[in-house]
Amino acid sequence: MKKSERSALCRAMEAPPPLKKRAFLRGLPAPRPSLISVILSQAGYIRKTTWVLSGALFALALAAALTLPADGLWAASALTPFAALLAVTELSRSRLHGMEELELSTRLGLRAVALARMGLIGLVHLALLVILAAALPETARAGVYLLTPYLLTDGLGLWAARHVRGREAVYVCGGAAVLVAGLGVAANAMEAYAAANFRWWLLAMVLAMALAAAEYHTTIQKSEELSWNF
Amino acid sequence: MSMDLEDAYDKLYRYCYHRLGSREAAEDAVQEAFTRYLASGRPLGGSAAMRYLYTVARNLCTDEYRRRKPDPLPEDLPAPADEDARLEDMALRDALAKLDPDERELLLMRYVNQEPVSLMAALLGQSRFTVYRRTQAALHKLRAYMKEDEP
Repeated sequence: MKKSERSALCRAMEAPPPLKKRAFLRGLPAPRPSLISVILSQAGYIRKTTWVLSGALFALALAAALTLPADGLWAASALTPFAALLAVTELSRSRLHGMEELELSTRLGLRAVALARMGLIGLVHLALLVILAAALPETARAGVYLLTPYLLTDGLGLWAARHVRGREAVYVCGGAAVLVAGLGVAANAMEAYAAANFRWWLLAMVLAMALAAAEYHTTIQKSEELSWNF
Repeated sequence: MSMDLEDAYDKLYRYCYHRLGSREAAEDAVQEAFTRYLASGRPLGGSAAMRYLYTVARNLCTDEYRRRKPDPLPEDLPAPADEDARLEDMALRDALAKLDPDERELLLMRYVNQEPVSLMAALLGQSRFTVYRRTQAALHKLRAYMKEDEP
């Protein structure tokens, strides 16, 4: 259809201006954003350094896994706590900077923001962990070795972010990541990565998962309480 | 993706106005469609919201149409200042009046409201191909009527 033809059609089919539009639209409640739009809007607020460092960490872990056939597994496993540290510090950023009250006053609220960021970073890290595990021999076992320190650091980091205020919380979270990575190194020295000890790893993963789930739940609940106190 | 409420209101209002021929009835239908949509608890945004709003507005217009006979094409529209454009618009309006209401609806949605064929297909319960073909046929018919009216 030609442009002139279309504009003639638009003119011929134009309706007289509505009379009650302004008053009606002013009275409408603010539109509730969809889940996807909340998640996408939050993706823009996650620091680029978080994504870059996450990518670099997983690339390093992948390189270790591929180039060090004997030590690749524990080396990759010892690096995942630092990815969890990135997730925790990003998730608790408003709390670490003392800005949670400001975020609570926004249209979405702290809870929705925290959930969206948690979902995004968690999904990306999970995808990277799956890729990393797939690159290692015995993928399922490797997945457990990688996921356990990640979840443990997540749980400890979230606990620290809830109990320690301000900048110190970052250092405590960093300390937790170093501690878990150190445990991984020690576990290798004690030959804990041997196939015979796998059931203990499974148990550790279940416990770490429970700790992380409880801490995520408490963190979200606390943000709900904060909104009531606000 | 959030929705431009004003744009959505204008499109629905134009749609209802051409089905009902009355400014007040069209606005009532649009506002009722928005109210029902918001009461459904769905987020405003995207093509699903627009499809819902059109469907409710269309049903409301049909109910209103059954209650009273609308004017086929309203006359109280602002006329362009240019004489040639005025004559062209009159010819076009005469040609539009000769089309079936369904054909006018297709042209309004596709070329005036600029809705995607997928949304129209969902609203009318037809395949995209059928909607495309019917829209093209309505456009050819409109052009033919305009040629007939040429001196």
